Amino acid sequence: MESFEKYSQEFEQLILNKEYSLLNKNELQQLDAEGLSEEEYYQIRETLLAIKEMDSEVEFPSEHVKSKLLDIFDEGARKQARIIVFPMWAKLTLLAAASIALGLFLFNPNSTIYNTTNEVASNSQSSANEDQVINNTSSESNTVSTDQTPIIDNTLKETNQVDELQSSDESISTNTNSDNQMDVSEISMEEAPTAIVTSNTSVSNSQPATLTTSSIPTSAFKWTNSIESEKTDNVENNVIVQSVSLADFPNVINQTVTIY
Amino acid sequence: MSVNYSTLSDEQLMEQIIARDKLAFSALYDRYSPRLMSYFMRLLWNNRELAEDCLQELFIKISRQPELFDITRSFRPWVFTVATNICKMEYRKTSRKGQSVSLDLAPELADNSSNISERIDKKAFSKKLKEVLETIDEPHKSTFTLRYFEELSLKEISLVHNCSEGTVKSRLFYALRKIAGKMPQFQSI
Repeated sequence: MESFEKYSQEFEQLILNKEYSLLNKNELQQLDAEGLSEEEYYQIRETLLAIKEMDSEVEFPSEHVKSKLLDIFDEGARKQARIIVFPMWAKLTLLAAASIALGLFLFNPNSTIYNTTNEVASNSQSSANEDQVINNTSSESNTVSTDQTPIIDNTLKETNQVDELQSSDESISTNTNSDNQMDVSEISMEEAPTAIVTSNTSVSNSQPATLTTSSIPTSAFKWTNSIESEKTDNVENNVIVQSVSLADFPNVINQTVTIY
Repeated sequence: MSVNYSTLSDEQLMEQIIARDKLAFSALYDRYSPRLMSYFMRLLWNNRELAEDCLQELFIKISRQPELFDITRSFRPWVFTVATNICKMEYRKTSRKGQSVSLDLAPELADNSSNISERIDKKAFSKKLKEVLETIDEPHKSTFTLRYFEELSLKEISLVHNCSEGTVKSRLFYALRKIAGKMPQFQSI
C-alpha cells in the first residue's frame, strides 16, 4: 500500500491513458505489489472512465431554504448591530479606571478612617485628665481615711458585721446608695436588724443602740476646711468614710446619730 | 458603489459576510448550494429532505459565525470539512437509531448483471454508482465523492479530512477498486 500511496497520483493518469499491455516493467511491478490483476486493472479503468464521462448531476435545494437562510442572516445582523462591541483597549482602560477608583476608595490617605492620630491624642488627653482627677480624689481620700482611721478601726473592732456606716444628718448623709439611704428618724428601734455601738458602748446584734456625738472623742476627727461634704469609698475596709464641713459642724454636733 | 459579487473569490465573499453583507451571503449561497446539496445527497442516502436540512444547518453556521473561517485559507476545503462533519453527525444519529446506512441494490440493475456487453447507460450508471457508494464506509465514500464529484485536489481533500495526502490516495484506490468490483455489468470488456 505504501508504494501505491507513493505512485497513486500517477496511477490515475496511468490507468486512464495506458493499456495494460503497454505498461513497462516498473509499472507492472507496482501493480503486482498492490495485487492488481489485468482484469481488475481494466475494471477500474472502465469505471474511472465512466465516472469521468458521467454528467455531473447537480441537485438544487428548494427556494424556501434560501429565503429562510436570508431571514436568519438578517436577524443575526440586527442582533449584532444591537451589541456594542468594545475594543480591547477600551476594556483595558475601563478596567484600569475601576482599579484606580477602588484603590482610592480603599487606601485614600485623606479618608476619615485614617484620622486616628487626632482621636488618639484627644483620648490620651482625656485619659490624662481622668488620671489627674483620680489622683486628686485619691489623695483627698487618703487624707480623710488616714484622719479617720481611728474611728474606723474602732468601728471595725467593735462590729465585724458592719456593712455600712450611715448618718441621719442631712448635711452629712452623702450616701449615694439610694436603697440604703433612709431617714433615721423614721426607723424604729425594733426594726433595726443590728445595732452598732461605737466608742465605749457595747455591741449587740439584737438591740439598737443610740450613739451621740458627745460620746465620740473629738480627737478622733480632723475636720477639713472643704466647703462641700465629700465621700470616698474605702474599698478595703468596706466602710464609707465621710468628711463634714466645718461650718456645719455645730449643727452636727447637736444631733443624735443612730448608727446601724 | 455597487459590488459585483460574482467576480469576488470565495474568501472575499466570506470577508463581506463577516462584515454582515447580506448580498455576499446570497452570492455565496448561490455559488455553493447546488454542489453542497449534491454532496449531501450522495453522502446521506439520497435523502433530499435530510440533505436540505444539512445544507440549511451549514449555511446557518456560516451566517451566525462567519468569523470561524480563517480568511487567509481556502474556503472550499473548509466548507466541505463542515459539510463532512455534518454528515458524520447524521451517521451517528442513524447508528444510534439502529438504522442501516447501506442501501440494497436496485432490482432492475441487479438483474442485468449478466449482460456485460450492454452499452453503458450513463443514467443507469449514475444511479448504480450512487447505490454502490452507499455500501462503502464513510471516509472512502467522502474521499471518492470529493475527488470525482466535487473535483477537489488531493491536497484539499487532505485538508477536509485532516489527514495526509498519502492517506487520501490510499482511500481513493480502495474506493475505486471496491466500486469497480461491484459494477461489473458496466464493464465494456
